[in-house]
Amino acid sequence: MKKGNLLNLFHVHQVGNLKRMLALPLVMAAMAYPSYASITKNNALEIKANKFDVTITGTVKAASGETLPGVSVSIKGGGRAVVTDANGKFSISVPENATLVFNYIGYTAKEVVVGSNPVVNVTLESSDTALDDVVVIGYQTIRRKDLTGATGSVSTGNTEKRAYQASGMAIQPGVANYNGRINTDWVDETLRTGSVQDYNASISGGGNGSKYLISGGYFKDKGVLIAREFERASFRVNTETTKGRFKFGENLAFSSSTSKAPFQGGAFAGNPWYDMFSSVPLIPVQDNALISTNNPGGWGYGSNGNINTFSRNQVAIANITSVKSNFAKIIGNAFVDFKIIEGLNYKFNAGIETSFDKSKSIRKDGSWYQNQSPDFSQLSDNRNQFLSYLLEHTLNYNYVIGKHSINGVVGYTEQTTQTDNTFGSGIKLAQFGGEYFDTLTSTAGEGRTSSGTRYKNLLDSYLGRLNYTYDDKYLLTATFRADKDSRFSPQFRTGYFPSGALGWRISKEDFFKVDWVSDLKLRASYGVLGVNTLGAYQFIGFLNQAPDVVLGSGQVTSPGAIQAKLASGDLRWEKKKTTNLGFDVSLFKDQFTVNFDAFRSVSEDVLLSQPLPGYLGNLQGDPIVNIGSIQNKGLELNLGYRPKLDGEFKWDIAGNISIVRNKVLSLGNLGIDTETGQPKDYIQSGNTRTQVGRSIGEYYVLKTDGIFQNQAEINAHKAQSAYAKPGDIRYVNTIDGGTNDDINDKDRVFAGSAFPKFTSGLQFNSRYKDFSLSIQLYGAFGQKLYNDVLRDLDSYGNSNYRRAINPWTPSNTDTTFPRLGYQFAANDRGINENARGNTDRWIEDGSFLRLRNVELGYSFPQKLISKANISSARLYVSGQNLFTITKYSGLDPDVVGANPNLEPGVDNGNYPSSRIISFGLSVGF
Amino acid sequence: MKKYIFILTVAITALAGCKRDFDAVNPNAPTIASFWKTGDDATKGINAVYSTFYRTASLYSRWMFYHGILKSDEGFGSGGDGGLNNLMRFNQTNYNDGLTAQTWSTLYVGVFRANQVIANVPNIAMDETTKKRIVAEAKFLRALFYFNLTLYYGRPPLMLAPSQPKDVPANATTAQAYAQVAKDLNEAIADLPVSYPAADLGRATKGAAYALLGKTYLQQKMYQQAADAFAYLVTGAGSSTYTLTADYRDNFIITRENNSESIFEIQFSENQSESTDDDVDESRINNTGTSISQFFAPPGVGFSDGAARRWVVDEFLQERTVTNAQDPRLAASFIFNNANPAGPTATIVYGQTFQSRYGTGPDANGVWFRKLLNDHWKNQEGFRSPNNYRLIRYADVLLMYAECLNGLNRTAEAYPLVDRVRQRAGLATLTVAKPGLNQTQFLTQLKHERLTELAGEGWRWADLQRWGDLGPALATRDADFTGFIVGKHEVYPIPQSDIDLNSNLTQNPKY
Repeated sequence: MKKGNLLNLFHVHQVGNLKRMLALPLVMAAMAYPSYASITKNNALEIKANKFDVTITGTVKAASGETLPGVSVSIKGGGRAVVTDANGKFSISVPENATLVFNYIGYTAKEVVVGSNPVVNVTLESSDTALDDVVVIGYQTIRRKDLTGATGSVSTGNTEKRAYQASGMAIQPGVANYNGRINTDWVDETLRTGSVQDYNASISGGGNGSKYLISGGYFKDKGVLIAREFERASFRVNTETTKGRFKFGENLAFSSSTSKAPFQGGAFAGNPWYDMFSSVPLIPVQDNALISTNNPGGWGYGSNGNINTFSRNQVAIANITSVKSNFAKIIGNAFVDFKIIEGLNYKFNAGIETSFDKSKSIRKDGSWYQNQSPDFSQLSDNRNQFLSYLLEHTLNYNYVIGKHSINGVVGYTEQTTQTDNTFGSGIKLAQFGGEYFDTLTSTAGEGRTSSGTRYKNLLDSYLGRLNYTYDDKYLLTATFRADKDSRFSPQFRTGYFPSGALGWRISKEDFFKVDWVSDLKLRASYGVLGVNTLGAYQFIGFLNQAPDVVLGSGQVTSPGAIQAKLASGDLRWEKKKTTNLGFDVSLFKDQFTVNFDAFRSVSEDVLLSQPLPGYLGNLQGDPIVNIGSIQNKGLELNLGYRPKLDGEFKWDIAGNISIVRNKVLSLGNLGIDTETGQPKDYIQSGNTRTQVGRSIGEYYVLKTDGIFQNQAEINAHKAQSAYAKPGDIRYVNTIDGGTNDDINDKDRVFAGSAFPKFTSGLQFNSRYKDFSLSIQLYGAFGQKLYNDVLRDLDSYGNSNYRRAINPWTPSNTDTTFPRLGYQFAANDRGINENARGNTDRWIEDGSFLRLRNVELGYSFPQKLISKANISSARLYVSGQNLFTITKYSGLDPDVVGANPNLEPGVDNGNYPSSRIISFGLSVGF
Repeated sequence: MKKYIFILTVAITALAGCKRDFDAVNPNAPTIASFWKTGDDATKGINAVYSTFYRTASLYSRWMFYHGILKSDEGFGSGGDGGLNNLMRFNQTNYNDGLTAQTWSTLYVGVFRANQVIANVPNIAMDETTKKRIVAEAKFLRALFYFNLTLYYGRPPLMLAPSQPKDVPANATTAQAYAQVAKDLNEAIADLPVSYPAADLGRATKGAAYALLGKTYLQQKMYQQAADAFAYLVTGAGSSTYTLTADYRDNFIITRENNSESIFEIQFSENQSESTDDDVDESRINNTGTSISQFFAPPGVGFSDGAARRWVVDEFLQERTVTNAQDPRLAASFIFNNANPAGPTATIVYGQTFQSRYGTGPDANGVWFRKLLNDHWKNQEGFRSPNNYRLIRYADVLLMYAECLNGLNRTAEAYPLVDRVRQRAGLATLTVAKPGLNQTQFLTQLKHERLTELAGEGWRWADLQRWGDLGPALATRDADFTGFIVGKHEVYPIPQSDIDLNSNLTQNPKY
């Protein structure tokens, strides 16, 4: 019997009891289901996996350098899974910003966040020696200590939180009937201390040509926002058997997740990250005096003539509405590998992923904001089945003749992805004893609706790869793919994607005689990748059968049908062409390592949602079109130092810096700009403009120029003299033409980019006897963020105002904050102009440096635990995001934009990262 | 070994044998290529154009009444919607503001739909009369959408074929846009029927097209062309189709919908089980009512986002009926303390006296528009009012025709038209009350007649614009006009996002 490797891991994370100091669950969920917010918003599950596909390739190696075949590579939280081939290579289509999970028997699982680099090479550590993980974010690679995987590369920031704190100092116009008794802290009412629990156990072993792994896990996350919860149980079995020329194996994983959350999104349910700050403290959360027909719960919210606010009562929403979702997922594959002759193997792999998702949304009777439509209680029941199967036939060959080594693979794969949806809804839920029935049948019959859809797409691929090395000095790789995808227009379905790489290990050359250089390798590569971010059937317009008309003396509803959403008729593959040059150096017996890369990638025919003008009458979202080309250029430098020390104290440090510049090269034919007579070269989206020669989504807004201190300054400036008063914001009148023209949209100018000038990371690890300490820092610098939450609060509209404001007054002139006044007051347009959204007043420096993780661990001495039949036991405490240094006034400078493609830096209530304190214990038997 | 190869061969052939259909059609909806084949398709297509009326809040389900009523001097933004209130007082800094930008885009949703019908239905093999009628209906509706676009935005780009994502049209001039409206209406007139069977009430008729055509010409003061169009309804073949109802109030209540005075009427029905006002949401039930009643109803009943200015009430009080009673149109038009001349204790507001609801409180002098409300049959409002909107009624046509004749210096011929409207209200005829007015005096009188007859029906803004009366001078009636800039605020800004996306478009003057 081969030595079994039995392993049991047990982690418990206790989240810090610092109130309002974390936000894990939705971040988690956001990883698991890329659009968690949209789940609750639309009360509908969307399988996003087929929406933002990027093909990632790479090689998995062991720390010793050998490639690892059969490593399971899966998308965290669901989606497809593949295994590495005989050479440790893999190729997987993933949603953007997905997290890849690498699992292999006897090795510590690893997670890698997919950035814009389509190549992800991973080194797995043997599970008993694992120390560092690699997290790849964008083009930057940093090493970090992995906690459980659950907390992944979550980033956080809270230092500036207090700036937003609501208080009783509200300046509320139109407030008539207050006695000041009520002082609701809406932030406090909306947030709570969350917690995360994560348990994993696994067992593995084998013998006689077989090996197996069985593992199970449980994860629970109680969110920092009230009424949000996420729970997952998972189970996995992997086996592999070798018999003669055959090798058989299977990997099977099952997981079941549930999430609970109230409605969120849109004008209807709002965004708690706005409402908790804008809600007025003078409104009670709930009061019996407020009970009415439309408000049986007596929830507090604005009313005209009293406290005129439209902020939503998020506590009421949490009580009145709920979305409960369950996702049951099975991912599995089975393979047979047949050795035809020595050096030539045929492998057939069949993979399947299926998930059964259901989501039930319930809205009970009640209201939560001023002027809300008094709707009936309602219920919707949404069911999805996702099914994806993959058939792979590959021939692997491997020949070594003298100093020549040749290996490679050719193959054919077929993938089918299908989503079936059934949706039903009803109104007027039956109630008994105050309890709501929660099935469709229990709703009143007349308001029932039902619908169902099926989306299916096919992908067939031919692939080939050749690796050639001579004497371990010269390395050459050539690959080719031909992919045919049904989601493109018929004439553009097939795309051809070649790539090649060369390597030269100079240190192996005879002429190279430098003892302090242990390894020196030069690399160069060029490749074309196909990118598909489409859903099914987006290349042709369809009929919408929902419109109807009331006709006749009986006022009967008659059905209509029409095209509502426009489609681009010529959708084709987006192609990403990447050139990479780099070198790897190890110095002084591998104590110093240097990796350097310079790359340029050009994405052509980029698939983007094109914002459409209103006069086209388009509905149901912007259509996706192939627009122009975008270039990313960058440099990446990794430095490591791991001194070879003899004592009990060991340490190492690694740092990296990454500089990426983004530039729009062309945007296709957008017509002629009448102002310049030149071809139009930009796309506007909100307050950002994507223009040829600039980076994507630069801010394009009015420029502020301080505060008018007196009437003379207003008169001198002219453009705002019709309405401005001392204390108002002075805008730069960019287009004047010598006339006294008003400030308007023509005066907008570029005002910065959301992309960092550089990012950097630092990882320090140390060990003394049985103690270990690791520290990880991450920073991004030079990016600009648009703080829309701040704009909402500081517009002096129908909301609470924040405490930290420092408004201009005749006696307080040294401030950048304009005079106080109500935005909707009659005949004071100056206040209205101060509240403009399209100005640089709301754009802030988003640079930050964050202590992402600190972990202190203690491993129990072997002799102590061996008596209890325990092979290893380790106790640790870690703190994530303990501090963030930033000038950004929002909750978290690590913003995922409102529209990540065209408005990447717009913070419109981004779910912030949390500060997490974890305690963990892992035990191996 | 052979066994292995056999197993492999089986596996490969079994899996390679699956048919892979890359051209499988979308199972969820027909493509536009497979539609437009039958008469039924044509009917569904035209129905979808009408459906635009109900879409979101941006057209006749709410905001069109803000643009036509509250923005004018008869009304104002009176509730908690600060953005609306600012817009109604000509204070707009955000040119993408929903109130203006969404009305614009929803009107164009209607245009896109009408364009699909106009482009595709002619190619369908179907009953020729029905085919022509459907295309004519689409042209009428396209004309109505462009009439509103021109009235409120001045220089809309003309989209006359189904939209393509890369269309980048330039602005039309106001004259070009109105000319297109007239062209569509003239073409529609030829193929529209005089009337419909009961089941199809609500579709555009020949009379509706003539009336809108007249309105279009009148708005440009093309009096002769306008008079020619109105003549069909007043002296021509259409004169037998339309009459004024005996009771003025019949035009605003749910039990007298599609009556003899109605020329074009938007059909609303109350659907309690609706769950969306997005008319392309295929998984939900569309709201086919209007929410304007909830937003216009007085405090305690509705949100009172809009209310009337008091001076309009005084305008009615200038004259009493031949039986020395209060003009019955006043109480039909407004809810206010003296709607019943006996005063607030006798005036009933949604089942309670005015006195008990508003007493001496802040709303004691409030005046609210009543014509779009449902107080005649229930004591609350909601988002699903079934009360049809009479977009064009015969009294409007008579007064417009009179304005044309007066404009053509045929004032004497205009008198009898005004007389008919006044008589129905119980007033003395103008011939008796104010004989011998000259052209200018008659126009001044007509302004009074249109205000009292059509108050709170959505035409006041168009009237003021046509008469050239828009300006800061109106501030004496409506303080909102203090901020009015001549040469700018006659129209809304074109949405900045459209200009940002299409550099062939230019912004309206002074914006």
